[in-house]
Amino acid sequence: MKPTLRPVAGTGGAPDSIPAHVRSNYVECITLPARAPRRPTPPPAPGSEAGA
Amino acid sequence: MTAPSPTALDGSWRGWVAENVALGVPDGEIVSALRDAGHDAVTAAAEVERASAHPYLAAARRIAAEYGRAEALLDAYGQLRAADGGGVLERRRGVAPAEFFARYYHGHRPVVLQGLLDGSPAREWTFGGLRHRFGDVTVEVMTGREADPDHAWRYDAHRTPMPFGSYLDLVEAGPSNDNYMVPRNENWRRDGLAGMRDDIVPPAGIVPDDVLPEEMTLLLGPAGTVTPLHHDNMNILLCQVLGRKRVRLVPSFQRHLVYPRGGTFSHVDADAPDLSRFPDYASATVLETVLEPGEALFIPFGWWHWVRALDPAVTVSFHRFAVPGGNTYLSEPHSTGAA
Repeated sequence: MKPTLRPVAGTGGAPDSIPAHVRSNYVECITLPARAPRRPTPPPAPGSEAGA
Repeated sequence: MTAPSPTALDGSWRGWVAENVALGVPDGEIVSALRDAGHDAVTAAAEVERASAHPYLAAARRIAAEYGRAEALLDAYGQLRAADGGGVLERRRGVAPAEFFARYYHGHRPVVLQGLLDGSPAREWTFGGLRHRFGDVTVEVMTGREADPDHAWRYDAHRTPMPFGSYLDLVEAGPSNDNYMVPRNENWRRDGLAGMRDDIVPPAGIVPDDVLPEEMTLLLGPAGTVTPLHHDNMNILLCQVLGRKRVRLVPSFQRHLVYPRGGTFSHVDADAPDLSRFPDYASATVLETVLEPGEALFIPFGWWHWVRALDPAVTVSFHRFAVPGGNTYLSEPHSTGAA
């Protein structure tokens, strides 16, 4: 899954250091893809004291 | 909800609940797995709730979150490798030492190298010839493997001394995984087998020519020997002298997909993976090859490998390379008391 780029509405969030011609493309944040939820680990072996 | 009895789940299942809560497995899935294992729904739900609220688990969750970030980094690294030939086990002839070290040793990539043993007198070995030259030497063989599924973890209980000639008779008697002369037997250091060592010429420029016997190992056995999925803590150059071996490799950076057992072994049977029990293994990159006589396989440290002999086979491995320090080692983690 690719990260999602979310542009700032307008240019209000862009710092002054961003050149005017790219201000409209300024990205406020990058939302990273979440990893798939973990699946349960294998059940413990009989008589063991910890998970497998 | 009624508080569960402290003995509602036994110690092993409570440890399993704690492990899965800490790892962030959704509560519903933990409860479902407990029910599938025969625990009643009320007890299962209460145990998960109780574990989730425990302050010790909050600390474990923080550690697991860091572990998850490390996994994400390894997965991203795996994506880079997959896009850069990582799905193929390269087979090369005439690789110069400079390229070997740049692309494979320091690149942490396995490779099959052809021709490295050309010129070694060992290429002329036959089982009959070895019997004639070294048959009276006492060697140590690992026996009784079939009757003990955990033989790899109980090596010392399986040490059996016998004349080398008698063992070669067993090797040629037919397929078996019951006996195998594996590296930990120290046979390679025996004075009586010095002539065998002398027949192996270290690959020039890759292994120093003053490599010591203890920096090499000898593996010898019948067709059918199986070495379960495991990894070594250093780089290995596995040289196939006689017979063929089927090898499966899984990248070191996919450790979280192979269900490690005791550090260097895996719960997964790489010959017949049980994906219902070990579903993440389905996402592992499994590279497979048949190593022919005269070929050498470079296995980077930490790379998982499973090996089956297809014929009566002799393999010699080197674990010293022409680099400062002789090799690169994977260090043990701080002791936590965990199995």
